[in-house]
Amino acid sequence: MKNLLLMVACLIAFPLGHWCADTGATWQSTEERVLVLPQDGGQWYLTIYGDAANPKYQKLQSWLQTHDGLSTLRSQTHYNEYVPTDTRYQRYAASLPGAVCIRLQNSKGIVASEFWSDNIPLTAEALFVGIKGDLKDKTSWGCLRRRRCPSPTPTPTPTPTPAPVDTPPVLEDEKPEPEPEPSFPWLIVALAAVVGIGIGVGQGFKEEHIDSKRKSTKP
Amino acid sequence: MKRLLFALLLVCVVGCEGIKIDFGAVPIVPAVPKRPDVVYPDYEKEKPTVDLEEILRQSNWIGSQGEGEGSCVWASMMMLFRWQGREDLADLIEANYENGSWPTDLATKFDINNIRYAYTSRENDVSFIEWACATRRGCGVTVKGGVHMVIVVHMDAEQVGILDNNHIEEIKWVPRQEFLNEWMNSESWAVTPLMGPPPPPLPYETNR
Repeated sequence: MKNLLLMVACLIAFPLGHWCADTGATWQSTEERVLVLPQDGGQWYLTIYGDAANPKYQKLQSWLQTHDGLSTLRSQTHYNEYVPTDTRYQRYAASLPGAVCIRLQNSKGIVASEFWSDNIPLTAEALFVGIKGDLKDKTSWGCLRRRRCPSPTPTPTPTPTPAPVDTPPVLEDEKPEPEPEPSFPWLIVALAAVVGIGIGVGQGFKEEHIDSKRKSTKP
Repeated sequence: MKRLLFALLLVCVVGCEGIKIDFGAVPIVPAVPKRPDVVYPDYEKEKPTVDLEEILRQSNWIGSQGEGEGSCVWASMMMLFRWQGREDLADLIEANYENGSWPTDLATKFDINNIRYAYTSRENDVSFIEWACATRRGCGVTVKGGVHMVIVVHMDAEQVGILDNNHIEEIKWVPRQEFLNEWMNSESWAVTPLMGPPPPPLPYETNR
């Protein structure tokens, strides 16, 4: 009888336990979704400004989707597009050097690379190379182009939490230079040719003149 | 004569397999135009961080449940959606939701609409608000004992910038600790959508 009661108790407990476990899992997943916060405060900003009807603007949009390097760059940054009809466009208008502009900024707002109007390269690859060059050549773009170097702040204010660490996008490394192809061995060929011709001519001469003379002089 | 021809044939074929003839071609490097120097306007330090244009701010409105039942949570979320470049979601909220809300209610409604978000409630988790401001998102927070929601548009070591949907014309600056005390006595609910990139900062001249 005890065994029977135990079995019944088990049968009741199993679905109850199963239900509780489900509830817990749901609760956990909810908490997880809420608690995992994207730490993207140091992420850089990539922005296109301009008239959406402008072919250059459309080209930039397209390149950022289709070109491997540029789409990788886009995926690693906060990407925005602003056209003059956007309310927010006015906020940046005074800072734009040209009508259509693509701008890459670090998390603090400093411009790391920028192409505008007629300076926008003709191909996606050239734009990628240009941006990559600007990122490498930080001294010329980051300081000289801005004409004023960063000056130390005299009174640093304490911050309760550490500022987000600036995380620049990682662009595809330069492709390693291919191993130089072995150059055609012209010298060996020339030598072989000279030797071969020499041997051939010698053999031919020998056969046709000396040997035939010998045969003809034999009694 | 046969040997001569054979020798010439050998010369012709020796060492040719797998060798490409290099005619000295130069690899093509994409042309990157030279650009003139750019001098940006001397912008002041970005304060508040979430500098929402006045035209994009949303006033609170009385919901269908009558007097006293405002829609402060929805107005706050609409402003954050607009800041994150999601006007479409702000319009969706405006068209479908009103009256008061609370953490689980908002979570349910965001889930229905596939809206990603993050929140904290009743945990006095100040780091959440710091995170929201450090990532330039801002967040809605409860005040006045938990009966009203405003958005935090800036937080630093000394001050907190508040944009109240009952007074959208100005940003109210409150001492940090004073704000935190009020928030912690108001259920300490803070919430922000995670639906779009924050707008870029202005092109500052110096590293701030």
